[in-house]
Amino acid sequence: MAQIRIDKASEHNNEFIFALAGNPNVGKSTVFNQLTGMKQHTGNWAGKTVSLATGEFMSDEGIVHVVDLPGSYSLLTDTPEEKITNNYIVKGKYDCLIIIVDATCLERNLNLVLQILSITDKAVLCLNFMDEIKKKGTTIDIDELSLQLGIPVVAVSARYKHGIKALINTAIEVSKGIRKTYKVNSICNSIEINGADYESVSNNISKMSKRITNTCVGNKGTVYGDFDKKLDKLLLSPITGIPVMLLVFAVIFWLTAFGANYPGQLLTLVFNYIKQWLNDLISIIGVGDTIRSILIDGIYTTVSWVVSVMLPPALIFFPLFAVLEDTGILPRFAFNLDRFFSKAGTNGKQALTMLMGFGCNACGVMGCRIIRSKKERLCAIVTNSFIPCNGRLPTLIALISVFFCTGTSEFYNSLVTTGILLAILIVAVLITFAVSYIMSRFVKNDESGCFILELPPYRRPQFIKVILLSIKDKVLYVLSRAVLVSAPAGILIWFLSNISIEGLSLLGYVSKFLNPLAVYIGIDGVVLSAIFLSFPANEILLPIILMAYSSGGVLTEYSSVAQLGLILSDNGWTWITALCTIILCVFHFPCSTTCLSIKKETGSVFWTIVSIFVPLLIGMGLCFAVNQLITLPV
Amino acid sequence: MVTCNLNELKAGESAYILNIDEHCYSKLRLLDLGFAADSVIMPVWQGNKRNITAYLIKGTLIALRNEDAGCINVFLK
Repeated sequence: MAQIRIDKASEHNNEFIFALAGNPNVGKSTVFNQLTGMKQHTGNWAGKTVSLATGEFMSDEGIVHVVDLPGSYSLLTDTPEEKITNNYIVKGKYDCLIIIVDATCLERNLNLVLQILSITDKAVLCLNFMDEIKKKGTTIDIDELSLQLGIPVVAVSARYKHGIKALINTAIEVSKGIRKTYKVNSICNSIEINGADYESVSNNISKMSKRITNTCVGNKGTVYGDFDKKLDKLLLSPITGIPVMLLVFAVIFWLTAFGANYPGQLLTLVFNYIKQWLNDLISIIGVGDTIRSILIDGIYTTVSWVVSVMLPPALIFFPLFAVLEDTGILPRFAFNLDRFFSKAGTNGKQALTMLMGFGCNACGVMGCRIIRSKKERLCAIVTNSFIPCNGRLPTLIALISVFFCTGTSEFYNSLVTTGILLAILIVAVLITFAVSYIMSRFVKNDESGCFILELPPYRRPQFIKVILLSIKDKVLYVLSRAVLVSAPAGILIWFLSNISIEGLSLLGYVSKFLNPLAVYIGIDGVVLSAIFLSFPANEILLPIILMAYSSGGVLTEYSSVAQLGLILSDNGWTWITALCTIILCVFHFPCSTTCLSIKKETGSVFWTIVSIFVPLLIGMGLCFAVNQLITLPV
Repeated sequence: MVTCNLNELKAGESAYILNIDEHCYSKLRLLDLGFAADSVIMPVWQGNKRNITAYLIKGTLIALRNEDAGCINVFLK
């Protein structure tokens, strides 16, 4: 979390500090982006901004620093996010507090506004989503509202950049004291934030916001719009809700798994071309063959493999997910699935973290912040890696294609692959429920209260902005992690396979050592060592296996499914080996980046270790069971 | 004045909030979200097997599980 180190106040004539506050989901981050031009990720469900973001811009009157505070419903509650906001509003240094409010639900938003106004009057009210107000035919008497609140009110439509200039000018005028504001007595007298009975304070504020809204807002029309109602009827109905949701999941899933094929192959071609060029270059420089091999066969090959496997699905999944987020549809999924998750001892938001985990387990683990209860958050974190991430999909698809697609028609094969992948996913989800159920019996109940889910209004997603942001946010993150982690992994793998003692490489020794255990669970020593060696990044599992089999000491790609099949069957693979490898690929331990995220989010080494061993033991147990069942003489 | 629990309301039936039971762990949170006395509330969508319901309150849609909604008392006009 960023510490605010801006301690210049308005003693300097041409530097200002604006702070942005408001309920979650009112477009604070959009306003922040418009002001500072800095791209910050926005998403249409409460809980997105979890740390402070700052930026600055040049105005006519001087430099303006802007602080984007996390969304808050009240100054009196104490979730970690809201504590930051509340402390800043009460104690922080700022010249003007811009309170951003969703004009389409003014009454609820006024709760926070009125609390803030009892503390400070260095504020401007920013009425956002005025375009939607206009569409509905609703009117808001801005002058009356300003009179009642004692501060200036600016009508804004942040996503179309309307009113932003007026907002900046007004905020500067307030900062400089040119625009007078005043504390409204009736607000202050009925709110004593310290020590008063919370319930009566809340009730008073509620009455006041009702009165103000009734006075200032005309032609309200239906609060809950027709379009929203129709869409929710489809998505939330007991009959159509879950099928529609499953359809959306299936489309995302299919696009990510198969849309990435051709770009992936293209990337591999490009990287190979670069590799040859690099090889030539290094020969010219002449650093000796060992170093050349470490650099090219070790580092470059590993990194380029990871990138070509990871990047195409990430470029499809994350933007898709971000667009969905922006529409406001995701809380509807949590609503539909809550009844299953509550039986398992957690809540519907876990469905969303699992969906995030499909893109990247580390991102899924971080996303668990949206779950309020500590116990439920732990369940979601520990089980997140059961969902195979984008990095593991190509491995799964390749293994399924080789051993289970025996038809001659490509279309038929792709159906079979999809079917088996879906079956794997269903098993993963069922095991998630089972483990969550067991965990929730053992973890101490922290009584953090009811499951409250806000269903925000549907908003048309700002496609281009959201897609670009998600690429910058998520895709680049996953890419940089891949590079950072796979480079050293490449060196390690190189050493393990190229350093030989008495004719056998180190990797060979490890495989030999693990072989007895491996055979017991239906695979072989090479596969088991590869599983462990894929700890840095899941993408390198298959390349390590191939490298060990081809005993060339170099990570090998395969140019066709048939070739892959040949290499594997030459090394004793049967469909049972493939099945057990698939099981272990889904259930082993989280990758290095995910483990780091788990440690960071839970703050506990114990839970990180639990997250490592639970999937591993499940994987090995399942393989053992499958192997025994199949090879048992009937 | 007829009072009942929030979870006894039928979809489309609106009522006014009376109060929230003392033992409800999320009382303060609910107050923040607008479940204050005299606010109008109406169930809009009920999940399958009626275990979670979406309520329209102060212009926003908030979903609560039925057992939790039992802590909120409402009165019909």
